[in-house]
Amino acid sequence: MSEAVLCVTDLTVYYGDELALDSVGFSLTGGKLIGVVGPNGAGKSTMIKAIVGSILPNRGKVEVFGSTAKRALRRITYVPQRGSVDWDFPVTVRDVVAQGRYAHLGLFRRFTTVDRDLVERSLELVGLVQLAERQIGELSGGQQQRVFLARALAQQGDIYLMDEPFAGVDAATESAIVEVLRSLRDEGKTVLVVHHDLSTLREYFEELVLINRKLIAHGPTDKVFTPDLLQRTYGGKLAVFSNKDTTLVSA
Amino acid sequence: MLSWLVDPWTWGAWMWRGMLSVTLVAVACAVLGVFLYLRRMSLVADALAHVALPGIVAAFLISGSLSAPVMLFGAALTGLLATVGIETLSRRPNIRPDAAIGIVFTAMFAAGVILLSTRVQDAHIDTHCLLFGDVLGVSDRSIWLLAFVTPLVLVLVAVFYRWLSASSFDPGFAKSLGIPVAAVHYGLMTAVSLTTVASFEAVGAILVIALIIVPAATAHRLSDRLHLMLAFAVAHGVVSATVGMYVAIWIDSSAAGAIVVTGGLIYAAVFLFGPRHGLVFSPGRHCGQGLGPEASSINALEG
Repeated sequence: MSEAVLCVTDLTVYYGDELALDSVGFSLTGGKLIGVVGPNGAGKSTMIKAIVGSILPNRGKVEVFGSTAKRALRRITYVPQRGSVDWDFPVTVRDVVAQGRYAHLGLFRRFTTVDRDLVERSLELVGLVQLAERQIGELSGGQQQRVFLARALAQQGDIYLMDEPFAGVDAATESAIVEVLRSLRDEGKTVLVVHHDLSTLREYFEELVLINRKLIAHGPTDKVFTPDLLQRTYGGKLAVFSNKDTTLVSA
Repeated sequence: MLSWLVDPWTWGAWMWRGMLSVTLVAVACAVLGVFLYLRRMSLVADALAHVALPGIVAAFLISGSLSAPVMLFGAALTGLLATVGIETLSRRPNIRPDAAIGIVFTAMFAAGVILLSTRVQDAHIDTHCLLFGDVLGVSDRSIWLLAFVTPLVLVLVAVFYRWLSASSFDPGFAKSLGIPVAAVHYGLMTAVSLTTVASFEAVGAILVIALIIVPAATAHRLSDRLHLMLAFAVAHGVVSATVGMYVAIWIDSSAAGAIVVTGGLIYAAVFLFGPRHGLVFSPGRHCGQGLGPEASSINALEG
């Protein structure tokens, strides 16, 4: 076993009286693409938000490289759902990507050549250089999703937590994003992705986290992507057709 | 020929004092208004302007003084109280946020009205002036207050610009960067409270709301860049203030009223003829940039 990059223990979140996330815990190593799977309302987004510090969990601990320090937590990069922001906001594509550098620059440090290069390189990686001066609302859904990805790349974190990056994007964008995620993994980064399309799980992710408020299972895709565990994750909402070597599922 | 422009300045210090105060009011309100507008919180300005009244009255009852620091402190305190109250209510599942704003600020304002009418009849709180302002009779204290609050607002916005813009656009992401999003929010609310109090004597508690909302709404129709929006909002505020002052002088009307009506007319003009989403024509997008959004998405896929 290599060293744990991200270790989540007993993560519990209540919304009012409602238990949204019930003592979820797992530990991830570097250089992996990990899918987070579960039905709607299973607490996937809640879990991601609690890990990145966007919401305060009622209980639980998040350790990054063995540390709970705020500085360490900033090595986590968060890619929120596209629908969570106002795309009419008066900023350009480049402005949004540059926000990825705020983690390192704070309030006062000026953008250096290094920062600007990182922003440009991130724009290149997601294919948005030509649109860099556009107001973000002029972009298509897939392009907006790539803006968020570029912002995460510019942040240069070690752990990427992405909330449904493939929601509402076209096939070309999806494969472009997957390409970028694979290269991140190959650089040794840990990439955790909330994903809805069960048909591409095997192809994209080597590890899965199955949750439905509680952790149902966590492990290599081969071991965890089974009719039994999926049934337990989705309850009765899932039809599973399986024979000896293939599993067909539809949520 | 230009005597109608120049003459008022020779009629006495009140013109200079009035113009100085409305300009200071317009600048501070416009800048804060842009951030409130972008956070879809324009009506919170309405609430904060109203809850300043109970703040000022309570501070007076406790301290026995109506000095500027006491007023600012009282208003900031009730402003924060109202903000917390509105948020606590909004977060409950069965309460609509707009109703929460309405409930909290009207209740607090009414409490202020009761205090004012029963406990402080002898104090020099002029309700009419508080609500509608009196630009031409603005006091030294009020001018000094503005000369303190407006630069303070500008400095704070400049210092916290990254935090303000990032947390207004994407609070979830901003939090993940370690930006204290809640503190930024309360800081902004406090700045709005202080600005409304400083503006009371010049334009009044009701019309100050227009000076916060209308410049931002106009600016968003003129630009889709934050720094330009701030510049346009300030320009809108200062132009409305100046033109409104002249109108008020020449038709002998309430200055605050004329300023707000002027601002509204500028908004209407921009609404009809503005370059972004103008109703009558909008040349910028179609001719200026060449490619529409559809064309650009094809470009991007090829690139």
